Amino acid sequence: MGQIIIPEDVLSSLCVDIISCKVPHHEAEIIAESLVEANLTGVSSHGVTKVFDYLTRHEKDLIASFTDITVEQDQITTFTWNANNGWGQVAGKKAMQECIERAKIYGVSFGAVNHSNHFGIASYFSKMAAQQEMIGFSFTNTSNIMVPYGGRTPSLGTNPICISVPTGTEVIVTLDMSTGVTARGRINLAQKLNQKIPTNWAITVDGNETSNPTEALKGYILPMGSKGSGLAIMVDILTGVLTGANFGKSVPRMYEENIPQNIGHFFGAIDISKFIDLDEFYQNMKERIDQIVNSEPMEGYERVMYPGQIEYEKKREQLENGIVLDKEIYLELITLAKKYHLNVKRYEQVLNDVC
Amino acid sequence: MGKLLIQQNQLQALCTEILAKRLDRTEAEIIADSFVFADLYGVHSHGVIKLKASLDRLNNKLIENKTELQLERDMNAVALINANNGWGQVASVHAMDFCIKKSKTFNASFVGVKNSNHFGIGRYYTMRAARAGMIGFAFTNASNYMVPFGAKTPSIGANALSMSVPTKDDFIITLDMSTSNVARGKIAIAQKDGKSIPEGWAITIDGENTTDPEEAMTGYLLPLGAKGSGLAIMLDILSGILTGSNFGSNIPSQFEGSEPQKLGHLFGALKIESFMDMNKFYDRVEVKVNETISTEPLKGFDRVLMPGQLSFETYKKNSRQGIPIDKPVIEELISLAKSYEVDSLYIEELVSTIGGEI
Repeated sequence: MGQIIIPEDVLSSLCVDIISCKVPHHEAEIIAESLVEANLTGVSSHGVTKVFDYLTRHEKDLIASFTDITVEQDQITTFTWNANNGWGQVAGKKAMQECIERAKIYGVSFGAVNHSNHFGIASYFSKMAAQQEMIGFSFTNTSNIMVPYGGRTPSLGTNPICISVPTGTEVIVTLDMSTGVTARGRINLAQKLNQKIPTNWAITVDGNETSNPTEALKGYILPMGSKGSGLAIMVDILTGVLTGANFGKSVPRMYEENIPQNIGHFFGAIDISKFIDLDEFYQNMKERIDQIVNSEPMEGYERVMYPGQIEYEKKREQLENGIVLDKEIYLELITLAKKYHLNVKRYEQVLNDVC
Repeated sequence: MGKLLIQQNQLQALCTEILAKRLDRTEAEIIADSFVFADLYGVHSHGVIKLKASLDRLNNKLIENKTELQLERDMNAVALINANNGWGQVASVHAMDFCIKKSKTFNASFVGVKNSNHFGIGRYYTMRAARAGMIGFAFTNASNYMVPFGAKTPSIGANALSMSVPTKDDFIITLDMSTSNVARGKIAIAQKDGKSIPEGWAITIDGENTTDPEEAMTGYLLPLGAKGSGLAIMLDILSGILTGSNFGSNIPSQFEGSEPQKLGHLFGALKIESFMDMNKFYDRVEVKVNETISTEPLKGFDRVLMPGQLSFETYKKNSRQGIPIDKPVIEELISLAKSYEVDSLYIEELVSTIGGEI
């Protein structure tokens, strides 16, 4: 099935309409904003395709109907919150806001969240700090699908690391990286397209090399070498061990297991102006970016980019021209909307217009 | 190549005496301790082999002979220290200890250092935080030897990050990694041994792939893929730009350069107890350690390790039986000691306690 182009406001409103059938409207808005932001920046694996997955888990009572946060620790620059099996995006946004407020006073702040769920793209939170002229950090642990370096049984997620830095313009330099050698989504894609995968991406359930995407999906992701594995373990300690959430082997898989995941997140903010005058910082950030993008590319590369540049360019383009989406996913959303007895006339109309 | 088993105390005493000929004794002690610490943990590239190169920089007036620390900013949980081109190790120990002190009050703290020099090994600082019941972070930028992902020309160092987490016993979980595909030291070893290197380690000065270590040494390091490159850039921002130090292609080479490097570092400490009961944390960390090290290894691997476990085992072994150090490195140290007119007693002590050759 082909791809269609949907205006950003239409897609957002459809997602809010659907999600707010099950959770309070203000929470639905946050969740939809995070998912649509993922599509806008070209990270469609974390985009509106998740609406169906999330609501399936909600229907099975695996995610709560609203995000009721309990404060477990409140310690000047640090805090630990229990999201009580609420929504990752909602708990994450509130926690990052809290970090920003505290960093304004103390210079830095770090917040831990336990008993949470999948929080979407990590950069949604770190960028909040960057918009307040701070450096933002956002980490989470994830389903237990990755082996530690040299191991054949999993005890890690592809736990991502995300850092955002403001530049004084609308560009936010953002590194948002998983610690796996590849994203599971790319193996899914290879399976769909009937392609082989490189043998360093994943192992079979028996610990053997494989170039077969189907076997890889049943098996486990390999980390990005020993360094990626080390980073994944450290992220698991920050987001799981330190927060009081599940960690390592004890994190259930999001799709295959019918128990709450009890995921943990860890957020941080550093107030730049406490270290250096913002003008000087931004001037040097401009020079830093220039040094990168003005590099002569190696053979086989078109250009050299700063972290987050592709996503930034994609977002600008799609805000102007609309979001490119698999038609299948849009139809899935409409089916869901119909199931909840929503009026989908407007959304079906858009489909007719674009096809 | 032959290695000599050297006793830690004698090695430290000799290095301190050499450095103390040119520096305040308190500074000499810190720097010598950091070098010997690296050798103890098996990270010889950052060990006493560096002593001569460091003194060369001092003799060329590229590093000050006294580290005049200046507290430029101090606001609640954060601070910025100007090292005024003093010694990276001295500035960094003070910065990390200040960070730990602040974290005792505020629970989280970050302290930056500007206008500094090579700080040695990152875990020397992060393990101090771990010993205080905190999670420690250390970031630094470095000489402009590495290309950003997809580039032919360098504008980053193999910028390093270190993070340490305490456990119930004396093992400290420690990740200490550079962002290049391999360390430059590995290429230097291949060069010495006359061996070729795999593609993907480095490029020539003209941006071509190479398996020749000679060409690689005059060329540039490749990052650990796009992710390593991204991390290196972020570390450059955190340690260089945030602190007002040099960054990117502005950083002169440590060995060939003729100007102060003005490196930047950033240290962080998070008090664990402010997030969770300490004993509960230790119990949970133990589960994490056990689930990792009890993993059945893949074909070709002996066992699965925690970050920092191998170097901790090396440390224990070396503290017991002596540190294996390349013979030429020891010979160089001894001739250095002689030329600095160090009391020959220290040389005799070191030589008489050598535990044999391996």
